[in-house]
Amino acid sequence: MSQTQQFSLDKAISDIEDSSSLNDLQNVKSKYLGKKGIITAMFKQVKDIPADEKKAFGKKVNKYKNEIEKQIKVKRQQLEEEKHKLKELSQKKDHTMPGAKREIGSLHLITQTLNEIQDIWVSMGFEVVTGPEIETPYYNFEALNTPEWHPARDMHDTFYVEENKLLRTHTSPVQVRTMENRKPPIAIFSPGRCFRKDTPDMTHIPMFTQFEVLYVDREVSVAHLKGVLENFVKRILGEKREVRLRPSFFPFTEPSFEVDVSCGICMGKGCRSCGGTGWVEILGAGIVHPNVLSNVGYDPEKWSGFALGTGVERIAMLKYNLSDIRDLLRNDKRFLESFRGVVE
Amino acid sequence: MRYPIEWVNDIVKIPDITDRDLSKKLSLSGTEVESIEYPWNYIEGAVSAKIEKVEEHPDTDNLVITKVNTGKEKATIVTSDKTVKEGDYVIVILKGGKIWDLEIREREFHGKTSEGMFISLEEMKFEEKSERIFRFDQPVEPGIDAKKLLKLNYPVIEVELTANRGDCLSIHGISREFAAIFNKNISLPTVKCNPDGNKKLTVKIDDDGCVRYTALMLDNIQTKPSPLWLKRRLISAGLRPINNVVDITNYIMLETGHPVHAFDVEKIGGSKIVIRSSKEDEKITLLDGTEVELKPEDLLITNGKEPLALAGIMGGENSGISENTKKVLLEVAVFDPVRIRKTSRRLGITTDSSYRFERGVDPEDSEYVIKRLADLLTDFAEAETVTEIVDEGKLFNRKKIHLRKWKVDQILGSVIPIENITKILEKLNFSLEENGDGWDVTVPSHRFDIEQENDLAEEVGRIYGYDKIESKIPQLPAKGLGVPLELQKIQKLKNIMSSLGFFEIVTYSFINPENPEKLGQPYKILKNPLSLDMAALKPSLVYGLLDTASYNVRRQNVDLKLFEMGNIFTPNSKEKEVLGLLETGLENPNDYTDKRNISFYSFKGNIEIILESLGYDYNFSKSEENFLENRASFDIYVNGEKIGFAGIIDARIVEKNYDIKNQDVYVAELELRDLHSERVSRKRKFAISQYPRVFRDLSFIMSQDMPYEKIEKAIVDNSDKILSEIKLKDIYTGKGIPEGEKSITITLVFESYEETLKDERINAVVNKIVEAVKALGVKLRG
Repeated sequence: MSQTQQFSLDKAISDIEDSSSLNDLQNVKSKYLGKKGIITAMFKQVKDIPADEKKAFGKKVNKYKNEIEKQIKVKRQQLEEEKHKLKELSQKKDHTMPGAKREIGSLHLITQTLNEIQDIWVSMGFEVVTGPEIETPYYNFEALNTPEWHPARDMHDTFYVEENKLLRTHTSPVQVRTMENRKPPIAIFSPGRCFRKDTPDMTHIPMFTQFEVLYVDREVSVAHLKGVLENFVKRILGEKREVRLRPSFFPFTEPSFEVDVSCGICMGKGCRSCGGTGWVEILGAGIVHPNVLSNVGYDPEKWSGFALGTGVERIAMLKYNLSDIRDLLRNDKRFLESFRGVVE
Repeated sequence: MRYPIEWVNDIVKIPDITDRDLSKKLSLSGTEVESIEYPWNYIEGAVSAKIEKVEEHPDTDNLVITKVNTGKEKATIVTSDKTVKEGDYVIVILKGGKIWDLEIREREFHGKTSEGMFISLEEMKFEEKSERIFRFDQPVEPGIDAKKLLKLNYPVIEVELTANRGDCLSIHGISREFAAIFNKNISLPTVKCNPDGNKKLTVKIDDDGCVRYTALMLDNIQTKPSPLWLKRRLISAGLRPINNVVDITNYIMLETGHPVHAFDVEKIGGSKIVIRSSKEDEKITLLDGTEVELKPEDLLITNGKEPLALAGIMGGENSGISENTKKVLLEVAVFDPVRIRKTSRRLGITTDSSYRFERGVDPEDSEYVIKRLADLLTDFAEAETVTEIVDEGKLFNRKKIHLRKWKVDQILGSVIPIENITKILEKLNFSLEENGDGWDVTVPSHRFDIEQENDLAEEVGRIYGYDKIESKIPQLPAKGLGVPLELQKIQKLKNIMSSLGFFEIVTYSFINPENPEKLGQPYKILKNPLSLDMAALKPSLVYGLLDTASYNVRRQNVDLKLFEMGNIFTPNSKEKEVLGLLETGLENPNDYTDKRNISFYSFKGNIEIILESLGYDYNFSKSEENFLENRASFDIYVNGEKIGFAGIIDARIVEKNYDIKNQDVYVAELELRDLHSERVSRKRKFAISQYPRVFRDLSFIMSQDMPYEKIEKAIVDNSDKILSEIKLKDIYTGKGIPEGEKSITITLVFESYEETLKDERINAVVNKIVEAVKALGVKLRG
């Protein structure tokens, strides 16, 4: 009986009420319901209680236990709620603060533009081929029907590294090397750095990135050249752009063309940026000169081809409306950063 | 070249279309129009007028007052030209008109109002200096647009000709183009002179470089200003009128495309011309006063002894005509284009004459040209012929090409109607004779560029119009080869670099030789650089990276991670493909929670990521590069060969030459080798163990200068196959660690493919490792 008298439900409830943390509450729970707890001890006394009182005693202790458990549960919920609220308050983050960003870099605009151009030609079935930047006059000129004293050499003011070594002025030597090593038909795309002795200005740099396309097969014609050019221009600059072939001259093609696209600013009406003509020059092209085919051992009676090429920088400038080609080689971080997205 | 349309109209009638359409027609047939301009558009509102009365000015002797009839109205004009007379026909700009920037309005001169101004030849650019106002030499109706009366209202087309179309460098040439484009006929000026005379003239060609030489002598020349129409045409074409004789030779060159030359017979000492190659060490002083040293490849016009002219390029100082010349020897020659070009290139002299000879002049019309020249000199310089025409040289054989109709269609990719082909070629002066599947085509003598069927197909195509050819998509022999492995790898590597936070840059392959000089690197100098600044080929990408860093740091872009991929060049002109990178400043500049600067170890980590992603079997050793700081640098080896270097660049170099202060600049460069081979990373796992891994951390305390490499080696040498990975977890110095020592914590990762690992097995390995590491003089911590 003495144990029973020591226990007070009110005390237990006030103990629970007074708990200020989940930890305190756990201690209170142990004090009453733990292995050595008061209620647990009372249950152990049951066996010593006279038989007639046993049932009533047991019932009473059970009632205490249930009440305590119930109170603890309520208190726990309350404390958990308080704890969460406190955490919300103390660890509040400001979603209006800027995120702490890792920096991602970017590919140079020339690389990005070249990748885009290359994807288009590769998807049309062309194979990418590259070659050396230091070339011989034979591969850069003679094999391409440009003998040493031809006035057309004026168009390619050349850097010489040694007496018979030069920095290639176009990627056409890659075409010659490829044709020398393979039998037709061939369809290749050759990108790479090229060099011409031009003083840097708004539209010229002495080192630029060129791409050239060569297709040699049976009965390749101007009509085919027009077809692939229209495909290319519409995909790289947009569906609305038109293409026209303007007759021109290159020693390695005949017929030769300068290829114009309708001006992206006035859409062909004529404005200041296209000099009023409505057209902007984008690349050079033509039907491979029979002499070039003969030089690599192809029979020009059986095979014919088209070739085309231009500067990647020129395409980038048209695509992104850049006015000064030299900006591409200044590599100002602010410029580089502005081309790192995936959306254009 | 500049073509005055008014001049062209003499030969072919150009239809009345807008300038824009004319320009488009020309451009789309292969003659690219640079500009269309009106040389006299600075004069507005000029009309003809008749002077009806001249009065003295009451208040000054320097001016007179005139009453003029300007058509509908009368006007009062005050002028300083006191020679004006009643009945003179003049040009006046009335108020509202304009000359240059001067707007003409009513103006008072000593109290008398003038309602406009008269203009002089000087104001119309026909004279250097005019004393008097312009007067018509015949009566004209007053009130007519003066520019119309003087034919100053026509456009001049400036054209950029391609290197193959030397035949278009003349009014005749462009007229042939217009005739074909507009389907018109051509009529060249007729010649009337039939030279004769009793004087003897001999011409001897002693060198193949002279194909044809036609000469004629004239006497009694009167040098004076050229007539207005001639001046007008020269000015329009961009030449300055000098006197009638010089102007006429220029006029003939522009009209016919034939450079012509006039020698002063008195000065050349006789009437003998010998064309020969130069002797070794011969010299000539040219018209412009420069003395040039000659070589045997140069072609000379001589009098049999001394050189008179550098053939096709420029006359000699001592043989040229002057104001006092009475007797001239006219030369119309044809030279080998290559010979002229070689001399012109070597001496760096390009003239209107050499430009045309290099591109070829018509070998057939020499006689016409010399007669036309004689006609003009007779008509406008009162000259008389005193010899017959002497014409020496080889006969020219016109080229013949068989053109197959189907070949034209095949090249152009479209069926071209037969009548279009024949009409176009005939308008362009080709003659056609039907033969079998096409024609035998005879090429006109001025078309040096036409050699094959393709050339003829182009002639047809450019006049027919490429816009009429329908496009087709070719059936490509798709082999699906696409992008070769090495380019795919480069692309992937670039993507990895940019995800590591690096920005790709592109820099010139040319650098100032001072830069590699300062870093002690050998380099290759170009034979003909653009400038000293760009005279060397870069032997390393480091220079472009440093220049770019310098450029950016000076613009307050101080946190940089840059990379470039491209070729570098060795002193013996070999190219190598390399990757270069540069890091400086903050590790994460946009992360305000991370204040770390780039560290040696994070930089090295990036290099290891690159080498691992390339699948290289690499190792490092102390760097041999002098421009890197000893304290933080290393060289990179793959399969025992050095492929690159990495480290902090010498702070003194960076500060002095690149203006970057107080921040470490890390650079690295490594050669990209074996990109074409299929290479598998040695770390790639093909199967993953089904059993859990076990991690054990070991901390050791050791001397600061104990290399990590040694510890790692001791672990590897004493491990078991169940040790799958060794990871450096922490390096610590400071509280609790004695001065001069460091603590490192290593995580050992154990993994088995056969069983769940038991503690006993692992402990045995760990104990062995600990003993081996301790043997290096290292203490186990805690």
